Amino acid sequence: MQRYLLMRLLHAVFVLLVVVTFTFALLHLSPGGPSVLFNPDLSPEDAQLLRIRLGLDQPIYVQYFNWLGAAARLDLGESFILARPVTSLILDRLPATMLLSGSALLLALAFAIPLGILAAKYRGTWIDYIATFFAVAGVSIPSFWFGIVLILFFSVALQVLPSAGMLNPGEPFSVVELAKHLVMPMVVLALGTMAQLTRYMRSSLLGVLRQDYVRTAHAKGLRERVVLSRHALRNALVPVVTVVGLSLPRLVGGAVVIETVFAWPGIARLAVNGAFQRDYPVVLGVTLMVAFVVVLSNLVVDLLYGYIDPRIRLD
Amino acid sequence: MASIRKYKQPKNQGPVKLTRRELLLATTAAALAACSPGIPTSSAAPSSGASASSAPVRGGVVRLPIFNEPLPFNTVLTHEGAATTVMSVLFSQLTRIDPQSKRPVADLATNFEVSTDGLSWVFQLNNKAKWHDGQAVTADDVIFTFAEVAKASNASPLRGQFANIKQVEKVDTNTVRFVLSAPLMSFPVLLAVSNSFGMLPKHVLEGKDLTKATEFNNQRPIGSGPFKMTSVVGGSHVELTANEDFYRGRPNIDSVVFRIVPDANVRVAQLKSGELHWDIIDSASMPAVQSDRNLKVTEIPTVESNFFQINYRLELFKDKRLRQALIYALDRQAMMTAAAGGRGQLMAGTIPPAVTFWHNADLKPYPFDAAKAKSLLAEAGWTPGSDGILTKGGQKLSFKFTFDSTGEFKKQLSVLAQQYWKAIGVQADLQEIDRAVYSKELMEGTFGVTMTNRRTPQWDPDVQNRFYVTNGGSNFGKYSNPKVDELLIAAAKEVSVDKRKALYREYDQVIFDDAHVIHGYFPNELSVNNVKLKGLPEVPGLDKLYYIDSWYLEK
Repeated sequence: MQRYLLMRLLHAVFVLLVVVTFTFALLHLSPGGPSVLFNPDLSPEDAQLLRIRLGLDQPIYVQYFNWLGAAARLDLGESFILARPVTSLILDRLPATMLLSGSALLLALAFAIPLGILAAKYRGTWIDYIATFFAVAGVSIPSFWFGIVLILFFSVALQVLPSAGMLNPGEPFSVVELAKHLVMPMVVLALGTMAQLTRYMRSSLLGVLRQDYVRTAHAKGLRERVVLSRHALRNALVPVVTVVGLSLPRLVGGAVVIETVFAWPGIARLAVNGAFQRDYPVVLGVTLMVAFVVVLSNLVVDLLYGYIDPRIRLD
Repeated sequence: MASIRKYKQPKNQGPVKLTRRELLLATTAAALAACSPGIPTSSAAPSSGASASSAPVRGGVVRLPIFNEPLPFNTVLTHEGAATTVMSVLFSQLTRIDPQSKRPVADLATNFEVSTDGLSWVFQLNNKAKWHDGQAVTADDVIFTFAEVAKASNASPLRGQFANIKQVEKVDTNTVRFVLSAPLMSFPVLLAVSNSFGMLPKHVLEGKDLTKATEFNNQRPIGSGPFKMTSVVGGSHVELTANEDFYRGRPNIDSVVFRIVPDANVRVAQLKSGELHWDIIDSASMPAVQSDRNLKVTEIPTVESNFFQINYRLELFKDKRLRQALIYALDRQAMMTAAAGGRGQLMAGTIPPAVTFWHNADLKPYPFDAAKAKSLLAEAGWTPGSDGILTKGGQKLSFKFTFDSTGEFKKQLSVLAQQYWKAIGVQADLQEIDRAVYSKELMEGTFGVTMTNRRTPQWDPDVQNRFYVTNGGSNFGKYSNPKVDELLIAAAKEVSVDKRKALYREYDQVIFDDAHVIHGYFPNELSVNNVKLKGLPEVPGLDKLYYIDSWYLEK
């Protein structure tokens, strides 16, 4: 197990290195350049001074190794635009993104697993059709549209929920306020994942229900509930956990649109602005951070396999 | 030493009032609007006029939108939109633009004078002005700020604009003199509109590397403006409270919150739900706000212009007949209707009608005349090819035509222009590019024709030098006309206002005849505010914030 973990950590470092190298290359290969340099008010001499201040006058490979060296010391540089260390920008926003993605995932799981089980158990009945309808609708509805519709209904028409942000400016922290702000972005973000997980849960459980050991369980005279919960469900969860692991990056990445619509102060929006303005340190920093979260969550998922299905051994 | 004379500045009239003519116009327009369902009644009534009817009330929180993270809070280091928005209420500038005359008036300075040779400008600072930490604002702070602008290591975006300053001298504690290397009559305007160029406190920042003053730049800026920084919540909002010691008196509003709301549709929803008090909307959002009794729309002429910039490095565009033909080919009224609901004024000269003092209203826009366009091209030797595209000497009449993806109106205008040009046998190869690529192509001169939305504050026509003098810093298309050079350079230095005005009128006529760019229109802005928010002056965009101390919230 220890050897497995060590190998996985080495693997993680390699993955992170590949990700940042590709991101660095893409940033420099993409057309345009840092918006701070293309300011019509800057004379060519001033633009050169700025280039020196930001370290952009160095050859690209020097810039790359400088960044890498600093990143190894946990220094992700300073934003070109915001003149603030990228690490502190990310740490400021990471909790907001984690809260949004985490709660959306929990919400998705809370609905998808029972809904998937019901759909599988009552296959071909109206329950299955309703679950399928929600799944198709959930995947098809564009999140920006759904977000605006919710805002118009709950914030403008009914005025029961705040339309944007995470807390009320100027008011002391309150869990109730936080929950009120969280509910709409969480539902919108959860919707797509919920729909997908419902379908996986359904098909995985249907597959398991056809297995011999399930038939044996039935033959032993076990009650339907026991067969489902003890014998079928646990086995059906393995592929679902894989999908959950794979959907984590999508939850963080998918938050871009939702963070924009609901003005949620997370890292996804930071990355998008960084990309538009070609704010290299911000884009690299956020990419590294997201890649780290993804690698870590995949590791956790792999460890979970062993817990769910003791036949799976990690060495 | 040249003698000092009083610079003729219009009186700062405090709360904005309507002239009788404006009132008449407003009432007539409102009456007309009532008969025509297409025109919003509210847009006709100037907001500032309406506010004069009730007495200002103290108290309340005003919530305003910003689109992005507003950092850093340092006037010397940044010119980014969100940061300058916040800085305009946090710091104070030496001058600001008067809402009525659209001319510079004193702000942090109580008055200013210029020598007869236009080289020496003396500013008397308001002796009531204090920094947010209680220290007095003095001439030393002004000298310090300009020294930081000039410092190469700061790479300030303002450095080029103030490169003309030879020396900044302290006359006494509250008086400062700027000595320029050449006369620059737009100097007080430049101080008012250089992206909220507020003064910085010497006692806080002296001896520090400005680019490393992280605490000041990110968390605890100290200004002398109407509002003090209370809290900065990354990615979410910044909150400021009224400065009790503000030199024009405590603002009416208790606090201002700038919320980061990047999505335009959500900002409209927030205006409707009362979560935001003011914003500028695009014409597509008009139906959503028009019917809302809690919102008031004011249509304000802006200093923006929409047009198509030409790259004169390409031989093709050196023929004036082609440039004129490209203008005649466009039904600009229809284009303006499609992209902006018809709100704006067709471009003729370069100085927008909002700049009332300098605008040349005698110039009449090129009409839409496709036949004339075709005959000009025929005269220039272009003949139709087999595919309908004009050719000359085996060369097709085609060029690269770009627009950046930061506004739906840019796409609409560009697509329409492409169609109109196709109708006269001109092939424009339209490409949508992202903003970073657009800026790069513009500055490196690799564009052909490009859709331009110019927002540079231009309350003084002197700004045209940058765009159209042969070696102007922002003359991206490399336009060059000796007569234009002569007139613009002379006008920038001319001390007499009347003579300057005459020079700019002549310049506008020359550049109009020369069809220097493919003309578009000057758009109006749709400023939307909650009906409870009063006292907004009728100036475009964020210039309203320079008067935030007079805003108030009706109970």
